[in-house]
This record gives sequence, structure tokens and C-alpha cells, in this order.
Amino acid sequence: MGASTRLNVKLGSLAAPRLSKGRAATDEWTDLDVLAVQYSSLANTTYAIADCKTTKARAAERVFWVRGVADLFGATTIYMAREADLAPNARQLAVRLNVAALDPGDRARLLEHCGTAALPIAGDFFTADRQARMDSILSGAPVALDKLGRYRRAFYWVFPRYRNLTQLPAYLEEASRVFNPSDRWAHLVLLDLAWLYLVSVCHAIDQITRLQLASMAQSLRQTVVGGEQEMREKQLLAEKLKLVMNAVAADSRESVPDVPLLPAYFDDLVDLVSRAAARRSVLTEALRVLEFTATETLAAGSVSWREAFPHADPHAAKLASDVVRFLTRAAKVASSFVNVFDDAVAGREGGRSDGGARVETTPADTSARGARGREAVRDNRLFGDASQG
Amino acid sequence: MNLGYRSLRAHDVHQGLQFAGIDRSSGIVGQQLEATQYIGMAAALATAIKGIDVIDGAQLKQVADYQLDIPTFGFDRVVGILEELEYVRNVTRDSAGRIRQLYETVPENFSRLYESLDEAYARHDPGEIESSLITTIDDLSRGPRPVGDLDIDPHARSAVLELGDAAEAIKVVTIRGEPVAHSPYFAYEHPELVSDALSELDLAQVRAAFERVRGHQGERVGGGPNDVLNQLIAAGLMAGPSVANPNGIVVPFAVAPYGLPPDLLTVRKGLLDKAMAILASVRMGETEGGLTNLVYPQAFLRGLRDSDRVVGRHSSTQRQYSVLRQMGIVRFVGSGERKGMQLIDTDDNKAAVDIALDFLKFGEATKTKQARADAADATIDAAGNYRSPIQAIRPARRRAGQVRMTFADLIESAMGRRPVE
Repeated sequence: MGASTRLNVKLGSLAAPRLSKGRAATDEWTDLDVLAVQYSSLANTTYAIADCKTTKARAAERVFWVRGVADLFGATTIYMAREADLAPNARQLAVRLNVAALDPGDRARLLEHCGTAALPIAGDFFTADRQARMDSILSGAPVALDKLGRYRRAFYWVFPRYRNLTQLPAYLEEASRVFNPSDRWAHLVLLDLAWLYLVSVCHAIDQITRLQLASMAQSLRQTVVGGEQEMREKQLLAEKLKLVMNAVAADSRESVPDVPLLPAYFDDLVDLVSRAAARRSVLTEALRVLEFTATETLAAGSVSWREAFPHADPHAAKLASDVVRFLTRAAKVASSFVNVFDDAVAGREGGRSDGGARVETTPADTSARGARGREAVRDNRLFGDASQG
Repeated sequence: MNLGYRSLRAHDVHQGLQFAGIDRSSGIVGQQLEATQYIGMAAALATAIKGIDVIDGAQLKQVADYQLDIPTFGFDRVVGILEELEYVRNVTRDSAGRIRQLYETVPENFSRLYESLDEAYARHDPGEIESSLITTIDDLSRGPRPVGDLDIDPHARSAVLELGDAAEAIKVVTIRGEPVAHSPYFAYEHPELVSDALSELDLAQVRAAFERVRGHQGERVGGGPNDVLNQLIAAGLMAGPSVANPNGIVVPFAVAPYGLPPDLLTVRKGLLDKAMAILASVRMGETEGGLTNLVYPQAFLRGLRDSDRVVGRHSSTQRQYSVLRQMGIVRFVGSGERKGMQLIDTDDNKAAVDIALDFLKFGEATKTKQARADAADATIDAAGNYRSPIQAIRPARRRAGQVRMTFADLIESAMGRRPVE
């Protein structure tokens, strides 16, 4: 359908700090099988969600559940996919709550109607082990990454959207010392964060369009801080901080620094959001470049974006690269991550993090993989491979 | 000079050489202006590609050669300067080393663009003569000055003036027995008339008038025929677009439209006329707006720039902006006395609003050097109220030790920019 997806999204909240040492101060609510994001100039950022199970038990209860999850995301389209026939009462409830209930026959027909034009012509993008492949590589990440991992998997989705424009670089910067370009997991985590950040940029563009598009920097300033009221609060806070720091530093010769309302990377953010806003038509495709390059090229060592989508708009890959570059600069991560990403997208030597040992693919190989990808769709694995039970 | 102005003037020199058709590779210009020329070319290329994102190398080389006067043999070096600044990246080359494709990442903000180019200029280690030339050109952008008052080492003065003359950047005329320097880059419409006009006027007054108008483009011309602004307008050294005030008296506003690409003074002169009319109308609104005056002219023009918006619902709108309707820039919307106005959505009209905004913000049409004039708010203004990131770094470096770290942590946490978990 041309959207960009995210599998196995966990939803949780911060909880009061526990007494027991070493336990994260978090509570997990639930997890979502598939989240799809799409940007269009008319409808702005829209979400679709899918609940995919192999059993048909408690289908009616699950309709209520998926409706609640959809409200949390502000999703406009909801799918509930099952490997068995759905009971009529569950279907009636689903219709009432605007949920599309899909059994295998429905899914096959829906995919047939949507066609395969937006699918890769090469690679194994829709194989069932996609998520397991990613999880296996990410299991090699150091413990120091746990906090970033919790943010990436769960908190991102429950924080107020504007906060992620500054929270994501902050979490990444805190973990930046363990990001080594020779580790494959580091590339996957960085691209996943870039994907999340681009989603935040999409929301920022929505907000700026509502505020004042002709004054990009000013509107973005309000968006980053949270609004006019928050701006004034922060200004007051800055003044108080300055007073406190002056008092603290009164006995020393140290000068008191300025208290900036905006992060040091704000100018870079203006550049990024301006470019993204000017290329709205490729925002979804840019998300797909990040998703595909992480899961297919870097995680699986398979084909590149350019091989899989030879006719794609080059501005999408450029925008995706801009997001990766922004994060490396904002969070002080090695700039060579950007080069590896650009090489991986273009299918150049050095674009693989598996030691650069590129597996050469002939046109026959890639078309065979493309055929397998299409088969996966025809075999109805698009919604069926997310979780069991 | 403020940060960013060296490369801005290098850009002026590059454009001046281009339009004067001077051989840039030989003679005194070729020998003495190497760093300036390369930085000027880099500025020209950066502003031309800004916002294009993905660029074909062969096409870029052609455009650089034909339109930007960047010789083929210097193209790679100019791209190298931009690559060093990360204004271009992911440059892919074929086996022969020819550029196939590149990504463009020129900063959206005009002042950041020239600030970084200034750093590159310093790294190119310009000679003493060319550094003095750049300083002098910037000085003369504020108006003519007696040669004896120029801030140039007396030993180097003749060499700088000779180089300036060869590059068509500085001209010296003798007025009442005294040599006076001026820059043709900053003369409007009839640079050849400069010496005639200057011979009639008091130089100190001319310079003061130039500085006043540069600091406040669209300065109201209130004096009689002896007013120096009136005389400069009459001599073609300044423009004087006029608007009728509430009493029906036509009031001129002085505009010094310098730093413009030559096509705006020739083939695209209509565009400049529109920009100046917009500026004059807005200035009229600030002082004689009828019941209430216009308080935020920049915000007003940014609103007008959005062709979907109706701005200025006011009883004086029709009177004050009638000239803009006559010129096909706006249409009046609504009924009754309180009509608003809306920009007629054409590229020229939008560009004209951009140039007017440029004059309001910077005092000169710096952004018209760019391919796409929609940069974000800049931090340079005509009054020199300017704070660059580099300037902010210096005090930070002095603050070493524990106190600085504690303050930094405190600030980031208080401002909500630390991870919340």
C-alpha cells in the first residue's frame, strides 16, 4: 500500500521509581503487531495499525482492544487480521468500531486490489523472519544501550510528539560513546532512530503548516519548545537559572554561560525540517528507504534500495540521508555512519556493516529475490508474519 | 568586518569580474586574487544549488561554466571547498574522477552560509593585498570615502587600489582636488555618473546619507531640493519610489538597492521596481498609516508572501497600497471600507516580496544572490546586531572546569533536553 511500517511496537509508560535496585522505572501496557505510517500533503501524517493473530479466540474482545490502541496513536485505519474465519458477532462489532476484520480470504483480496507496484523488485523484504533477524543482531548491543532501547521501543510513542524532537537526540547523545561504526547493531539502531525522528519531523511539518509556514524558523521554535506559553515559561526559567548561577559563581572568576531556550542543533533542525517540508511528496518514501536499508541491506546483507526500487525518486534517499546526518551531528555520533548509509542505499562497496564483504548479486539473483518478495505478498504474509498466538 | 562579510564581498568580486568580462586567470587579478576568486566562486555555486538536494554532476559543471563563470579547470576545486564545508556530500565520481552526482546540504540560513565560507576563506590564506581589498570594498559599500581615510596600510595603498581598479571593484575620482574612492558594485543604475554627482555634493553628507539608508532602507525623504537624499535620487545614486500619504501628497522613500545581481538592474528591472514599491508602501504604513500605523512590517510582508492569506484589513489599505494594485502585485479583497489585500500568485510577485523583505532585514539585497530566496530568519541585520555561533563558542571555551559542566547539565535538564528516564 506504499506505507512505511514498524513491527512489534511496545507501548508503556514511565512509572514511579521502584524500590528494588536495578529495575527500570517503567510499566509496559501492551504491544502492537504492525504500525504503518504514511504522509500525504492533503491528509498530513496518518497511521494505520494491524493486530495479527493466528487464533480466533476472543476476537470480540480484541476488537475493543485494537480500537483503544488506535485511539492512542490517532490511527485512522485499523485492521484485525486472523488466520481463521472470524465469527459474525466479531465482524459486526468490528464494523461498528470502524475496524476492518480480515480473514485469509479478505487479506488475499485486499492485497490483490492494492497491487504490487509499491513493492521491491528484489530482496526478501517480506520474509517471516524479518523481525527475528533484526532482534538477533540487536541482541549484541551493550547493556549501556538499554535506556535508549526502552525509549526507542516504547516511550517514543507515549511522549508528547513535540518532545521527541529534543528527547531523541538527547537519548542518543547519552549513549553515543558506545556507537562504533564497526558494529552492525549500531547502524540498525541509528537507522531505527532516524526513522522515528523522521516521523517526528512529519508531525513538526504538520504543526508548522498550522502555525505559520512562511516563517519556518519561528514556527519551528514554537513547535520545539511546545507553544507560546511554554516559550514564556522557559524564558522565565532561564532568567531564574541565570540568577541562581550568578549567585553560585559570585565567588569565582568563572563567567556564567547563557541559557539558550533552544538546543545547540536548532539551526541544523531548521535546515532539515525546511528540506523535508519542501519535499513532502517523498516523505513516506524516505521512511521506507530507512526501513528497507536497515532490515534488508544492513541486517540481511541483501539488496540495496536502489536495486530493489530502481525507479524510486532519488530525493527520498537524499532526505533519509539528511536525517541520519542530522542525528550524527546533533548527538555527536561518528559521521562515518552517514557514509555507510549512503553506500548501502546506493549498493556501493562499503555499504555493508558485515565487514564490507559484499555478496555480489547478478540481475538474475535480484529478480529471483524480487519474485520471492512478491510471492510473500501473494502468500498473504504481509499481515500474517508478525506474531503467533 | 562582521563574520560572513568577507565571503559576501568575495562573492561580489566574483560577480563583478564576471559581468565586467575580465580575464580572471592572468595579470594582477589572476596573481593576487586567487583565494578571493575561489571563495567567490564557491559562494556563487552554493547559492545557485541551494535547495536542489540531488544534483547531476555533468549538468552542474555546465551551469557553473556558462552561468556562474566558474571555469572548467577550477570546478573540482570549488566543489572541494563546498565538500570541505559539507555544503555538498556523497559526491560520487566515475573512474576518470568526473563528478557523477552529489547531495546538496547548503544551510537554509543565509548568515550561516557566509559565516562558514568566511572560515574557508581564512583557511585559503588570502594575501595581504587581497585581504585589504575585501576590507576596502566592504567599507565602500557604505558610501564613497576620501582615499586618505581608507583603512589601508599606506605602503600597500597603491597596490590595493591598482588591484581594485583592475578588478573593476574600486574606482578613484578627483573631487575638488582630493582623490575619492568608490565602488561601482554599489552604485545604482548609472555608476558612470558617480563622479559628477560627488563633485556637486559634500562627501561627508553623502556618506552619512548612504549609511542612514543602508541602516533603514525606505528612509522617508522629507527635505526640499537641497536635501542630500533628494540630490542622490536625482543623480541616480539612489532610488526614490513614491507613495501618496493620507493628505494626497506624494512622498518619496530613499532606497539604496545595492548588492543586486546585474540582471535585476537590466532585464529584470520590473521585478526590482515592484520590490521597491512594496517597500515604499510598507514604510508609508509605518509612519502615515491612517488610523493606526503598521508596527511589524516584516511580519506583514511574510503574511503577504503567503498568497492564500488576506492581510491588512484596514481603512487605509486601498489608498496606501493602490500603487501595488496598479502594478499587478496585489488584489483588494472584501467589501466596504475595510478591504484587505492578497498577493497575486506569480513567481515574480513572490520574488519581489522577498527582495523587499531582504531590504528590511539586511539593508541590502543579499539573498537575491541565492537561487531560491526563501531562507529562514537570518541573524545579521543592517545595524550589525549580530551574534554568530562562533562568537558564542569563544566565551564558552574560557569557562573550563567543574562549574561549567554543572551549569551545562543544569541548563539542559531545566530546559527539558535531557532524557526523562
